[in-house]
Amino acid sequence: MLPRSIERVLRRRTQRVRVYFGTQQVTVDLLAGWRRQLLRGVSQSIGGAGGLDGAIAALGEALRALRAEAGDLRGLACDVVLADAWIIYDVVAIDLLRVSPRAAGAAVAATLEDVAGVHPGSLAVRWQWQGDGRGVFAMAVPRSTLGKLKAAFAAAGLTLKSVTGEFVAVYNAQRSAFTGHRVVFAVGREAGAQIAVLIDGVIRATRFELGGGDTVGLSSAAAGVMRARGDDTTAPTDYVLDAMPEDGHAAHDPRWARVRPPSWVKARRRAATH
Amino acid sequence: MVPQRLVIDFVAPPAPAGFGRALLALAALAVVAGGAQFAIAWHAYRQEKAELVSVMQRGAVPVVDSARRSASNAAGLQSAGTVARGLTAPWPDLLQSIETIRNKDVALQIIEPIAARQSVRITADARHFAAMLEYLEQLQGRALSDVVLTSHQVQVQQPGAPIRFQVQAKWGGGAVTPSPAASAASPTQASNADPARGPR
Repeated sequence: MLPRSIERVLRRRTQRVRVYFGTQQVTVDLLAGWRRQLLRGVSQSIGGAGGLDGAIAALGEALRALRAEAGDLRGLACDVVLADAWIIYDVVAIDLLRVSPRAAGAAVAATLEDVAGVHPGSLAVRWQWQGDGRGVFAMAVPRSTLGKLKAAFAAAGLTLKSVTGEFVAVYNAQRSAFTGHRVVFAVGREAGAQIAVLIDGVIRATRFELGGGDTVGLSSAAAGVMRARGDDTTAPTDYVLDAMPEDGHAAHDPRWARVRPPSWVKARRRAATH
Repeated sequence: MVPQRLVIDFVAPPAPAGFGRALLALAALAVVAGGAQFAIAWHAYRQEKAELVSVMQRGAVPVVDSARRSASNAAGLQSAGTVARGLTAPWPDLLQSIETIRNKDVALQIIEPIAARQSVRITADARHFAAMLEYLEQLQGRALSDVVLTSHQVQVQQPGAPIRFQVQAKWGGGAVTPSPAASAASPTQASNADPARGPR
């Protein structure tokens, strides 16, 4: 039998925690190995009041439940996927050749703060140049939200390795399917759908559409995004959707091709409430 | 065209770009290849050194297995041999010996040494046949062996209609007489030369 310290080191090396921080539920999974095999998973609904505090409380409950089942989680690496409703995405047109990275960062932050209507410096902003060098894709989250999340994970003894948006995670997983000249990609969840329009593999516009919505509603929202850009909405377009299946009563637009949603979307066994 | 990967994260540092990763992989590959090359070269160096030490201890030239000698080595050796023969040929003495032949009716045009065959090809213009034959005799008596008149032609279109002739001769085998003085000092060398065969 291995000494406890060695077991702990091995566990830190081979296991990690993945958290899906949604708007209606929080899911915490314990994964093992390089293939990220699911060992245990717990979902916790966010209380009636909802909001950030309710979500943080649900996260704490889910972490406690997983610790009760899987043992001490302290020291394990943790990857967090934030639902898109917590995040602001935008595409900002900046010429890579004319603007320094520092100036571009300031401009992107100012743009996102303007879009969100918040005080300067209140958002944590991350961005990257697009493939054509003529714009950036950016995401932002309130610093207060990020701070509370970090505090919750620190209290559980987890080591934060990654915190990113669900759209980014799904986009990276599905981007090999976006080979058409014009692609509309949407990630639909309970709170709404994050829609992006890609032209020649570059994200040209993005918008968050509130509400669950059906594919007809998504098509209408996507047409609105394209029209705002001045694009021809009748031009050939590939529509790709990552969303849970609709019920039979929802209006359906057959142009949408569905991709399989990531595993964190599916609810796990509910954690017992204390 | 597959869209680029989004590498934005609120806590993780940005991942190195694809180009950087590729460059890193190439650099690692180059280091490995360089290491392998060095190991091979070091092994060969040690082997050669050991062989050299062994040869020096025996005081003899090693017998190189012809099967082991690569084609490039053989070509290199052949090339080196050609260069060595060229360098060891007594050009100054040979040219001086030919140029000191006094014949007012013959004008020397071209001297083409052929080091590989230890011979020389001489092209000259003679005013008349007698001068040409006299020149051949002078060559044979002075410096060269196996003096052969290979061709001759009357240049009717040139003023005076000179005879353009070519001579081939060997300078090896001790036939070269460095200078008239040396030639006079060693008449046996001149007497070894064959008589000229005359025009064909």
